[in-house]
Amino acid sequence: MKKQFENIEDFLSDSTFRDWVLHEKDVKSLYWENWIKSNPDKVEVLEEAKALIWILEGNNATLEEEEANMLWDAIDAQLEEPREGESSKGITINSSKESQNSRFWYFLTFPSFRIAMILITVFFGSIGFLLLNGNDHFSDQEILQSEADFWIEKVTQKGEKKRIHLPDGSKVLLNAESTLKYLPGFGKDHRDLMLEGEAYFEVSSDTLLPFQVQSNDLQTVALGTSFIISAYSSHNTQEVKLLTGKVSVAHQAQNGYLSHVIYLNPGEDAMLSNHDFKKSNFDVENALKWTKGILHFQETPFMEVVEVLERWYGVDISVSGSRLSMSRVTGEFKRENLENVLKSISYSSSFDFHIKGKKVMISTR
Amino acid sequence: MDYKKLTDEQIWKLISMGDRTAFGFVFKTFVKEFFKYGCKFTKDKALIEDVIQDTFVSLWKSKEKVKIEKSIKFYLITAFRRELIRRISAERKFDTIEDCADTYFIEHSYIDLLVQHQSSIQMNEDLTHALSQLTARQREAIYLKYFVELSYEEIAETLDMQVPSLYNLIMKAMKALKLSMKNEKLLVNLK
Repeated sequence: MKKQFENIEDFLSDSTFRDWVLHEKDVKSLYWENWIKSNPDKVEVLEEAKALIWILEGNNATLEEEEANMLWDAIDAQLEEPREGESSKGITINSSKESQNSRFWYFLTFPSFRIAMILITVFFGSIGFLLLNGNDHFSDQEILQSEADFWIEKVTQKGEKKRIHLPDGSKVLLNAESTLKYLPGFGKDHRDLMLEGEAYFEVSSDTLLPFQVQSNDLQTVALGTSFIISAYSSHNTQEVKLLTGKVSVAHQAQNGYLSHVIYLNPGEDAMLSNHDFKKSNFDVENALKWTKGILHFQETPFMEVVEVLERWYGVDISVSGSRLSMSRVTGEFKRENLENVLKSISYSSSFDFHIKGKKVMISTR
Repeated sequence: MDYKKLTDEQIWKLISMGDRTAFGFVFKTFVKEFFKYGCKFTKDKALIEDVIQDTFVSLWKSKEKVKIEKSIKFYLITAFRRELIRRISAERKFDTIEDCADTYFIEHSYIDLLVQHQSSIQMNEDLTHALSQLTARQREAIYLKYFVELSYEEIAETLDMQVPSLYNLIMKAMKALKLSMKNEKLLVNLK
């Protein structure tokens, strides 16, 4: 039976019509173009329906296929069954702890907390230790396990970025291969974070609780501001770049004392490189590029580019030929695939490359 | 397995038994629509994605307990809406004045639209006015009816109102829109 289109509502409630108007699928365009030809008397109604759809749909914000897939991967990773079943089988725990544990897991089921987080409050931890001291059959590994369970951890793999909403309303964009963790009570009792890798922070203001990030040897303190910390352990340099507000950055020496404090104004960065800790200026626009999905190189040493690409695309790159390591790369890529990026770099740096799954081979031409 | 051929009840049965592929199918079917719907509440796309993630994960966690006989979509979209509004209100406390300006079912979309289609739609003041005269509730009801394709009963439940008054609300809103459109002969250069 052929569908009748008499009034605006008939058009509105037809999904193929809506898709056509919003240019979502090209498949049906022929159908509707023909329909218009054979129903000239209905064109007026059709155009009205079209306008209404635009008006109601408004901004054409859509989730791209790729973004949808990434979102699913993030969800899929959390669909594992919780681990509490295993651990309570393996270890004998007295009943009071068990009941607290189950309440604790219930707490985790609140939507705003991720299943991937594993946390036990300090209180439980101390019970754990008392128990451990009195019972020899707990192995070291189990002690470590319970220590690790304190932290709420957000982890990104190579080729992955994650947006994190912290309980205090602050936002974090965690770059690839990085870890951000904090103890329970964040936003209530404290705002202390630990970071490995790189992250962009937008801090909600809270005059009572300072926002503190510990990253390798640097400690950054802020009160409502945005900044970028870059502290990959594979890098020689660690950096804190301030975009707005005011932060202090302290260098923590090996003995644990804070040796030196730098106060930053917007546009300034604190850099630790081979025990040299100093303040300088940076280009704000370039610094923010990775948060917008843009790869940016400016006179960047080739080997550093390789490292960035490995992290960004989640691949392993092997380079043969020593000449390449001397060259430098300048360029910008927005949401390009790896092949296109390599192709355009290869023109200026003249190399051949071969991509095979997650492995990339680069060789001098 | 071709999930498209199954009813919601059958798919839900698979999911509640732990079928992740079925769950993935449900996600892929609805995610874009949910995202668009979320954009009507906030510009913060990261937040929308975050809430979508939480909604799906928490449904998975309670899959043995939850009973869905009719519409998985309806269950999910109400959960999504509830959580999104909760999170927006929670964040608002900390947000800058700029972010506070938009309310639920914001009008910014219309402004964006005007800019976007300025060349093709001769939208004049009267129509813009008619649009802004609609309440957020009216806009949302129309959206849920024609874009998300919920039934009147489902929309009524989502917006917490009675079916007859919802029916009335939508009728009135549509009438107002059509009228202003007729008046302004919007048909110029639509193509």
